[in-house]
Amino acid sequence: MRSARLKAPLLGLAVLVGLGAAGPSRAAPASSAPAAAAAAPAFVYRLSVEPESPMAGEPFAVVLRVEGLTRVSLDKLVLDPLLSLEGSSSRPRFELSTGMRETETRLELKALAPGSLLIDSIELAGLEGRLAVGPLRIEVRGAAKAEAGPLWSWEAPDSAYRYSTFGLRLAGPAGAAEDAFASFDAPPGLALEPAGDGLSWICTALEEGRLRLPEASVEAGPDSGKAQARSILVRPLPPGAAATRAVGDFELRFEGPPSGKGRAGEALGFRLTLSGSGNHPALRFPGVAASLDGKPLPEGSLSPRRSEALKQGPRGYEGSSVLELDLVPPAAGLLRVSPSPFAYVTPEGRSLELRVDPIEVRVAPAAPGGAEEGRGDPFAEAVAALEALPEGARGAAGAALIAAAASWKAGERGKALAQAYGAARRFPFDARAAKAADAASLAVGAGPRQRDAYAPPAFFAWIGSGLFALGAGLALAGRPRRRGLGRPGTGGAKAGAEGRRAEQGGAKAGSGGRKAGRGAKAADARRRAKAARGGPGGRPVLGAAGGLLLATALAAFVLAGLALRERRVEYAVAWTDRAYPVPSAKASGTVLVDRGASGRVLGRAPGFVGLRLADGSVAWVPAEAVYLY
Amino acid sequence: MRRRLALLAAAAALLATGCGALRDYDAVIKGNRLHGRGRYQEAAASYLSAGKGAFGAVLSYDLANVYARLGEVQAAAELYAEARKAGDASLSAAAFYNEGLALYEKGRYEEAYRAFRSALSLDPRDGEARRNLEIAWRDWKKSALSPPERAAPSSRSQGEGDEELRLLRRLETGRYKPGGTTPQLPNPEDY
Repeated sequence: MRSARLKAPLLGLAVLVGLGAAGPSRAAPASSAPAAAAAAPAFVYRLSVEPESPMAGEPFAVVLRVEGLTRVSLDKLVLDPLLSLEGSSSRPRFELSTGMRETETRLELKALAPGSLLIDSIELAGLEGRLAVGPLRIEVRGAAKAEAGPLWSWEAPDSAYRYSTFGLRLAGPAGAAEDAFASFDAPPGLALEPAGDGLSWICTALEEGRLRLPEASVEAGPDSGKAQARSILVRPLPPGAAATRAVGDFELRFEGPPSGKGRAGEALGFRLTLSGSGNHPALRFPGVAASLDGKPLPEGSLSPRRSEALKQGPRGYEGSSVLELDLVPPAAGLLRVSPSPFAYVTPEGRSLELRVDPIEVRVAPAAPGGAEEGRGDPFAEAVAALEALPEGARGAAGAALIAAAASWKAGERGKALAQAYGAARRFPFDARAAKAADAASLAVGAGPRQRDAYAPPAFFAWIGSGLFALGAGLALAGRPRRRGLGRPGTGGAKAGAEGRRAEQGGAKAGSGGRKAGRGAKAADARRRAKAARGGPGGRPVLGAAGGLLLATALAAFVLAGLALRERRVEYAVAWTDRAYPVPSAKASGTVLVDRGASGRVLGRAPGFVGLRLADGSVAWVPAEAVYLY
Repeated sequence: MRRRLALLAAAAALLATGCGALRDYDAVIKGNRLHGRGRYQEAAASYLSAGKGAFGAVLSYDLANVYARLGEVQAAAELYAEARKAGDASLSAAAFYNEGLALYEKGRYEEAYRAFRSALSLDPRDGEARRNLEIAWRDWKKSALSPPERAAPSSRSQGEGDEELRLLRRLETGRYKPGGTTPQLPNPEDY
């Protein structure tokens, strides 16, 4: 069992940092609990442990009774590091009932920890000779309080196919601490990958047979406890799927050069995409065969590169695995590339097969003397039309693309790519920028550029502002208007009251014969009564529409905020073939990167920029080979 | 007036410094959390975003742990050495210990043995370092007698021969709490 440590009190803050790594643990080659092991043949001995099942932290005794050996002393004792010798004694014994003479050696030990601990050897020296006993394994129980925890259990399927992925979780009491973590010996034949918290994993079964999930200790504050061991039956894959090792639900797509044409000596790209949920990391792609005019091309003529863009899902991994195949046709003719059927098995046990149509490419003879500059270069072609425009008609996006074209012509392809991508990012509604960026990407052949998910923040801000103004106007227009009560100082109310008095004056004129003062009083009383009842309503439809528009405006402002945050994310082009798994000059591994690949900037280190590439992998690229956009 | 201005400037400087330290602290804690979730590259980026001023040794150590997890032992060793320069005995012992683990995983048993021995010399109570020391010693001696191809560990633990390695590979089940506040010294109940 390996634990971690690591602490660092800094600036008065106790900071726990570091690695809790597993370490080599003592392998116990010996037999189990107290029993007689190999011994010198001349002596008969009996061995006992008192108490039979000792507890960690409590003293216990190993008692060795040897017949025929007298004046015994402990000559050598090799103990597990977790066992400590507290004391030892030897004394002669005589059994009256049987008349047997023996020597009892008593070793007082203490176990520092529970588990299966080893006494490598006990060697006694006596007058009649020597006796060596061992190795012995002592099963030490944990302290009582550690055992009395709430019950945890393994949540896993009862059976799974070999190479399939499935979720594994330690389930415990409801409301257990979120930062709970578990400790157990990783079972052989099972690949584990953490899945979010300290108690969940995505597993891949590597071996057939009974897979034993061991007992696990869960540290969750007051809910700490243990999970009992259990097993999973790992079944062999059906014969059809054995070659691909694929378990899940998949879709297969095969793509070739969009034009369906190629030229001898120039690389053609094909892409086999397997998407869906399942055991992506463990599966194998089907074979792909190529032929030119019906004659098979050599096996090595297709150079494959595999990449994955996966995320963890409830049934293993979700996403896509891509096999990119580059092929350089050696001669003109009809090239035919055909993948073999892809057999797989669903988690429910159905064996299925996916087939894709072969792709045919008409390969033209190689161009004599190479291509004319600009021709055959999609980016140069895309920008050529822009360059023909007068400066005033190019616009900001056009100017950016012209700058990119200048870099392109100067041979700074990475910079040009980033400039073109940047123009497409800054002017997402400009079709020329998008077209030029795609053309540049195609010319370099390094995969797609990174795109923003949201429209520019200004777009949402304008929409939000417009909706807000409109909504506010409608809301004001539709609000209920309160009639004035003629109180002093309420000019509007007064005016309203006067207007109504004038109306009522007309009515009075029609009635004839009544006194003006009485009529005005009655009208005022009616008005007051009406006002007391709540007055006349506004226009509720307008008010509701205004409210709706205001809510929509709010949503637009939220989207503007999200878009603004997204715009702060930096993207970059890596103009190199080689990057590193860590930003260090001492890095021994390398990460192969497609020259011109685009990624999101993950971080920076002196001399390096970390990029998360489209396939989800991370590469630390030398800073001089990175172009931001 | 000048005095007030000076006071204001001092307060602003203090606030800026405090904010910087807080940001660095946050980056370290975030890195620890990502590390605990197995997102090593993001953890590395988070550590790298923190300034080295106040957390220099710890950052080197954390970053080294991430590098070790990514299999870059040489790069990790450089940072472990940097972390040890701070002179914190506990941190140095932990650095030696983790370096030993990383070396052991690469099959460099002799160097792992030396690293565990250094860890033990700094923290003689560390029972785990002692156990690992024994295993590294045994495997070193075994590998010295075995053909080279048998000396290196396999990438996946399979079979009885890889018993120790299998235990070593409990990468996902570490007992530490990233971002916790109490040191975890070897505790008998942890075994």
